[in-house]
Amino acid sequence: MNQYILEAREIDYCYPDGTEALKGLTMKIVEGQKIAVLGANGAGKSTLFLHFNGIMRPQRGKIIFMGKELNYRHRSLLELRQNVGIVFQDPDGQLFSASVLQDVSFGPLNLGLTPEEALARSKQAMLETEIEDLGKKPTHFLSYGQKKRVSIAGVLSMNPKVIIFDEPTACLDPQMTRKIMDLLYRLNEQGKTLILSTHDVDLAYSWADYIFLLKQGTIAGEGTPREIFANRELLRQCGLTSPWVMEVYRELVNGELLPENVPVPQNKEELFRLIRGAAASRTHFRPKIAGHR
Amino acid sequence: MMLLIDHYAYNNKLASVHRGEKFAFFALTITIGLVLPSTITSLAIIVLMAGAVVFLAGIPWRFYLKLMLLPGSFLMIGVVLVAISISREGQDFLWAVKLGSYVVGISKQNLEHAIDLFLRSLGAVSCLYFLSLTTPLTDIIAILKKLLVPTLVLELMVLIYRFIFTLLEMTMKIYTAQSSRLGYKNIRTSYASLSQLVLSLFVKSYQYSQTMYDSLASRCYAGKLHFVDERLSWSAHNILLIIIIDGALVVSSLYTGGYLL
Repeated sequence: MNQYILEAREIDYCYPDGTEALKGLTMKIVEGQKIAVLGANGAGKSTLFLHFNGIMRPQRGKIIFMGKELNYRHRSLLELRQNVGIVFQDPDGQLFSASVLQDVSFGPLNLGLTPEEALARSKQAMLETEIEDLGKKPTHFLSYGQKKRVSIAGVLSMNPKVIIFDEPTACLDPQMTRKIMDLLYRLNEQGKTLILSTHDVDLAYSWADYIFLLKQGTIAGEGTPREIFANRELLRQCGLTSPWVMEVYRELVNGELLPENVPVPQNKEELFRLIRGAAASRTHFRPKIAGHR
Repeated sequence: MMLLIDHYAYNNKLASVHRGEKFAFFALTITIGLVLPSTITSLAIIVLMAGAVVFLAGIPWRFYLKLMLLPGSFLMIGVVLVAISISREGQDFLWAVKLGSYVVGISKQNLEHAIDLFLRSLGAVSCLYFLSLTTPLTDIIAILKKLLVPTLVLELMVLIYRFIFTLLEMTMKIYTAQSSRLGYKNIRTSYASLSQLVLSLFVKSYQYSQTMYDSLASRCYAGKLHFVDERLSWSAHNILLIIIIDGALVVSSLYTGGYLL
C-alpha cells in the first residue's frame, strides 16, 4: 500500500511574466498527518497549493493522488477536488454568495448530492465551525473571523480527505486563532490529512507532525519539527527564526538550569513542566544549603 | 441608504415570517393597486403598507418617510407635467393662463388623471418598499426560483448582489487609504486620486474575479450555481390575514368605484 496520499513529483511552474514559482519541487504527504509548510512570502506556497487542487497545471512533473497520476481530464479533476479542499487565505475571495447557507452548500451540491443530503452536510459543517447561527446572516455583514469560518465550512461540507489551509490564522485575533487551531486538531483526530502554510514558527513547531521549508520554489528542508528547528543555519537561510519554546529551552540548558540530556519540549506546556520540575529539585536542595550555614 | 435598506431586510420583525407569505402579500396588493380603479384604493394601499412597514416590521418611520420622499419628489415633477395641458380654446379649465392664442392650464379631467397616476405609482412603490425592507434578496431569489425564473438570471442576481458589496468595500478601503495620505485635500489632488481609485478598482476587480473563479473551481464548480432552500412552515393565520386584507381592498375598490373626486 502506498502511504502517501498526495504527492508532487519534480514539478516546475513558471508564470507567464517569467517568474519561476516552482523549480523541480517534490513533496510527499503522508496520510493522516499534520503538515506545516513554512516559507517566506513569494516562496511558492500558494502556487503549490493550487497545483495540489488541479487549478494550476505544472509545466513539468506530476501530481499524484492516492497513487494515481492526475491526468487533468474532467473526471480526474473532479475526483481530486472532491478529496482535496483548499481554504483560501482571503475569505472574501471565496464567498461568492450573500447567503451563508448557499455558500456552504455549494460544494456538496456540485458533487451531485441530493438537496437534503447537501443541507445535512452543510449544517454539520456549520456546527463544527460554530457558525450554525449565521445561516440567516448575509456574508457582507460578517466579521473577518466569521467569514473565515464560513469559508472553512464551505470546504468541510465537501468532506475531503485532505484539507489545505493557506495561512489560516493570518489577520485573526488570538482568541479566533485558538479556535481555528482547535478546529484543526479536531479535524486531524477525525483522520483528515491537513496541510497548512504559515509564517508563524511557534505555531508550526507545536502543531505539526512534519514540516516542509520552502525557499524560492524548491524544498530547502523537511523533517519533524525538532529536526527542522534544530538546524539554525537552515532557518537563517530561509528567513525564519527559532520558536520561542526552543530558544528558552536553549537558554535554560546553556545557563545550566536544565540538564543537557532532557528532550527538547514540543510546546509551552512541556517547557513549563520542565521548568517546574527543575524548580522543584532546587527547593529540595535548599534545606541542605541552609544547614551548612 | 441602500446599505440601510439591506440592513433592515435582514433585521426586521417580519424577517422570520415565511418569504412566500410576504411575497404573496406584495404581489397581490401591487396587482390590485395597478389593475383596479384607483385613488381610494391606492391611498388605502399606501396607508396599509406604511402601517405594515412601520408597525409590523418595526422600521423607524423617519427612515420610511425619507424613502418615500425619494420617488415622491420625482413623481411630483412628472405628475405636474401630466396635469398641465395646452389648448387653443380654454374650456373647463380649473385654472388657466392665456399665452398669446394658447391657453395653458389645468383641467378637471387632467387633474384627476394626475392624482390617480401619482397615487397609483406611490402605492406600487410602497409595495416594493414593503418587500425590499422585509425580505432579504437571497429570499427573493429563492422565490423567483420557485416561480421558474431562468437559472442564468438568478445566478447573475446572486453574483451581482454579492459584488455590489465587495466593490463598495474595496472602494471604501482605497478611498480611506488615499484620504489618510491627503489624497483629497484639494480639487487637483482629488481628481488625481479619483482617477487612481477607478483604475485600481478595475485592476483589483479583475484579480478578484480570478481568485474567486479559482476558489469556485476548487470546489468542483461546473458552470452552474445550485440553490438549496430550507423548508419553512407556512402560517395559516398569516395567509388568512393576507386574504382578508386584500379581499377587503378588492371589494371596497369595486364597490366605491375607487374614485374620490
